[in-house]
Amino acid sequence: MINNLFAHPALPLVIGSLLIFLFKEKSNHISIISILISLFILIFITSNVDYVYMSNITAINYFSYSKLAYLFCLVFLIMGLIGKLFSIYRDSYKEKAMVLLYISSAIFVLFSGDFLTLYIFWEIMAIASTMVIWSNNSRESFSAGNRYLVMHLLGGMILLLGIIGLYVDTNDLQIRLLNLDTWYNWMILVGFLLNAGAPPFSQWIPDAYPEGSYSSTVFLSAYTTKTSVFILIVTFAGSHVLMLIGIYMIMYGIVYALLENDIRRILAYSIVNQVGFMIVGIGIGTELSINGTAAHAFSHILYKGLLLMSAGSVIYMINKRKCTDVGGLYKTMPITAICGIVGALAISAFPLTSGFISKSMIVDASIHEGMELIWLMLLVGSAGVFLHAGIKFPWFVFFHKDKKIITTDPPKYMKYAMIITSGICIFIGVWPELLYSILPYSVSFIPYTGNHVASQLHILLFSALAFFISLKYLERTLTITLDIDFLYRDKIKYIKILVNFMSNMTARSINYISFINLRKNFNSIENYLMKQTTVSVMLIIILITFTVSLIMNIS
Amino acid sequence: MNDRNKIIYILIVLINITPYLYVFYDFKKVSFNIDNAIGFYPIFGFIACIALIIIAKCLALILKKEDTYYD
Amino acid sequence: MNQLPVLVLILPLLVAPILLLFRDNRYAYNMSLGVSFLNLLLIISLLHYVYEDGNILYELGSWEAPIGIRLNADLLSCYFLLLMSFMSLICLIAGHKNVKSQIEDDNIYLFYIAWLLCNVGFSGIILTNDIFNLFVFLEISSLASYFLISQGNYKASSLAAIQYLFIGSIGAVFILFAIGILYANTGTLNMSDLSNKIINNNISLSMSLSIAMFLIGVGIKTALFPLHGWLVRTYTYAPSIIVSYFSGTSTKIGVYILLRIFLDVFHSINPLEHYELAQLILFLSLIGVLLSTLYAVKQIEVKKMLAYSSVAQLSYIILAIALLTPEGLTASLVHVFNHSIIKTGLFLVVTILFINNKDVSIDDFSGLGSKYPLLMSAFLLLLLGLIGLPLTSGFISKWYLVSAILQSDYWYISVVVLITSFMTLFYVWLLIEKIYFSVSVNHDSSIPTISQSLCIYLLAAITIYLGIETSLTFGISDQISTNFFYNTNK
Repeated sequence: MINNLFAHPALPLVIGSLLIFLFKEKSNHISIISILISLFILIFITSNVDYVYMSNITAINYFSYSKLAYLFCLVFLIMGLIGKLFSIYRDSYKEKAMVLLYISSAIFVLFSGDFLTLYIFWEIMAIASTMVIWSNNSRESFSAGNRYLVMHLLGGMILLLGIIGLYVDTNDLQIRLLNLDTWYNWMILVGFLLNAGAPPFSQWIPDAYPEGSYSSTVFLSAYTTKTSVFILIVTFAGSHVLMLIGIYMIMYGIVYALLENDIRRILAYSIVNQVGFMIVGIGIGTELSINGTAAHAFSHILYKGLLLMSAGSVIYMINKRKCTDVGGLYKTMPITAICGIVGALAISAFPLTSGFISKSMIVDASIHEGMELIWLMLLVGSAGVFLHAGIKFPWFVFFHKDKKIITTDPPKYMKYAMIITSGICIFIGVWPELLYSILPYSVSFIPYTGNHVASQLHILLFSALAFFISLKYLERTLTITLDIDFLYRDKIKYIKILVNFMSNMTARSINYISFINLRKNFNSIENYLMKQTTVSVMLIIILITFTVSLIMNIS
Repeated sequence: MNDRNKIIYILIVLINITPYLYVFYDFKKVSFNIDNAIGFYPIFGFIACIALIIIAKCLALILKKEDTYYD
Repeated sequence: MNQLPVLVLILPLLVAPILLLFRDNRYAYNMSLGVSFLNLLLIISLLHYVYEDGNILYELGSWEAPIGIRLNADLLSCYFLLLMSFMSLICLIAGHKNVKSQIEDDNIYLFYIAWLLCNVGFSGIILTNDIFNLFVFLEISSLASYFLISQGNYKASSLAAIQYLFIGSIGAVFILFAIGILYANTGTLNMSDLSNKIINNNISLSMSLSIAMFLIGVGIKTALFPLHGWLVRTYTYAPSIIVSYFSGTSTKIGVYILLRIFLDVFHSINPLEHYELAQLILFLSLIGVLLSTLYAVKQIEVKKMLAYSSVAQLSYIILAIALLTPEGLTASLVHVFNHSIIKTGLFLVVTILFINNKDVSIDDFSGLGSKYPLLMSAFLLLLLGLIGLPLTSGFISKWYLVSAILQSDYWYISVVVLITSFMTLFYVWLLIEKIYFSVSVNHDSSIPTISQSLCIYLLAAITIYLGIETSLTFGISDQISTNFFYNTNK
């Protein structure tokens, strides 16, 4: 009889994260071993054990298994393993520990059965990912991490309000399908959508993700957004407002990515784009489209990781992150270029890659439901994907103007990681039944029909033509594009003035003596370090009290 | 740009294959009538891309700033 | 067992004059430590007994009520008693080094005597069942606290003590006047007797006057919105150890008095509902929350910032009471406990680290994350409890508060709670940023001793523990509010 607690695949990751703080030199070994143990637990134990754990206080169900959760957990762990392989040469053990904590909290969210558990691990996920961003130790990553943290904590508060409202009204916190007819369901939706990068909250993805180190962005891109996609599938499948939001995200991603100069920002906008596809799939709500969304999430994690790994390799080798600084790298970094091209083909849903078998499901679902306008928009999106990610990324980084930069391919583990991932992408593309067998609903979809292949090739060819014809309009410039972050960046001075004004007014009107001290400006932060012992001690205190109370509750 | 012209030539060669792809097309299975039109997908894809590029360029007039805007 | 309430009261009261005889500082400290510890043990067993078996009534001097003075130890009293004694013990342990350096040597034993008397006052207020006795003990504790506050080594300390004296006396006078009116109208001073005698159709003009005066007196004590200025000034200029002690206890005493009088004595009238007083209090505490959080954001001085944050949290508590639902009462009681622990912990860290500094600014915290990693991680945990991150007790109280708000008629207040918790995040973030992400390291802080650090760790661990296992706070509060709302005979 296996104890429920130990059948949870996220536990080895938490333990591994703690162990890294104790054994700093062995961080690579510890991380890879803990992910392997988690994979083992997932595949052999979790799917077999009888799982529901109810606490006697408020019916907290912290471990609830579903086929969808299995799928997502599987791809999370696979990506974690590949990412850890890729980040072997990174010498920040803090980053590695925080990444393990991040992955584990995402898996806890996947397997949570009630909203309170979900909320707790949602917050832990936000904090862990912020620390991953901060571990890059640069001024930009510090401020980007700040904005990221504030944005996510705000979303967490909105989510909390919705959850409390749900509890107060229905007295039932189990995770279930929700209708969008009450104010608290809307707040929960907003809280989830913020993590998915829906408008108007989509700016944090291109703002924060590229500021991570070359290896951490691979992890960052995979977990927060896909966890919210997972939870949206479970709670809001079939809400038609999601289709409109998804379409906006698709177009937003393409348009902004076309204007972008930083390599990984292009890919970050393309994350918003692809998540938009998934959200449209959730909005459609049929079995085929949910299957498509799940499959799309699976393949997206892998090929986005591949793209970010190739971009990360470029950054690792030559320390340049703007398109205007790179070019002609296919000669000197051939393996990276080939893997980048495989990733680009996968994201554009080229036949024989994993992107093809998943995206066509969503498109077909819209056809089956007779939604002509949605289908047209999805086609526009498919064409645009090739434009901004499928061609633009590899072309400007590896081909185009040759800057004659002297470099080589990245070291061997990074190469292995990329090759393995491109292998998986192609493998799934060639043999789709493997992926289809773990999808939540039964699949009767055949991706390789003449229609699908032919129409896709048509679209891709002509998008390529459009790209190269208008190439001169797409030249990269040293610019950035403003976004909704214009509203809140650099606005501290206005906030200070506002706060001062309001408090002065109230102080005078109540006739108290008030202290009119203006806040000093923030010091410029050149360098900072978060002391390791503090975080580990904090974690240890939390974990010890948590386990003590859990033990007292279990027995 | 030699590179660019080379690629356009390659693409034009590939595009000549386009009509032959219609061999695999199953014209009875499409659900929206517009699907059936010969050349729908190619023209739609092309125009969609050009439209997206134009939208991007128009937005750029308002939204583009130099690199150091936030510093 | 029946003697426990009076023991809790008598023990410090007897020890205090003995200490006056032996004018020895170290002896005073040891004795007060011993008495507090003994008190804590007694109160824990009292709580246990009352939780199982119901309340204990004890007549002082065997004079029967309603003529004599009676002590009533019911669940509400034991809850608050536990809080007071625990805070007293922790602050004594953690503050000794502070006391030795900040307060003049000649006065240290007097300091501890006043501390013990303050304890007596608090326990007396909580335990008594006689309304005039409540006033007496209120005056005892106030006198002791005036002395304690004036011991700070700021130039403005005595001034702050005098201000507190004025305002405290005004509050006490209002309460006295109200008690007098009640006595004139009903002829009895015993609280249970009063609640029997005040029946619904007996509301005269003088009765409503007494209600209003009680409200003002209690409002002064709990720093309700327009009457909160004294709190900030007091907390800034008192000795830091006293600030830590009072932040956890003296304002909560005001909450206790509010609960006792309005929900217990005036139980049959339910005056809050009757005169729409509840809406007034609700409105006032709402403004109090918003304004004090706003003031807290712009503060540079840490003690002022924490003082404003105390006002905000107190207003939350009063808000929850003013909702007049059982869930609201539960939420406020839970928050009383959780907030006391967190706020005392925060002030204690400031006390421990900055013994000699008069004005502790946020910049003084820079770089301390590297200097005192363990202590700062406990500090961080307490700050996270203030924000209300899940797994801390602040989250539990925020959850219950918001569900109580949503279940009452005033759902829009939850938006205000959301906004203010966001603003709280802001000023807490300023501290955290300075502690961990600052370049320069402040070397002016003093090194904490082992016992001091242990106190802080204990408080942080309790915060986490109460965030997960809530039977202490929520279980008892639930029981108390059920008793209040669903039992007509006590």
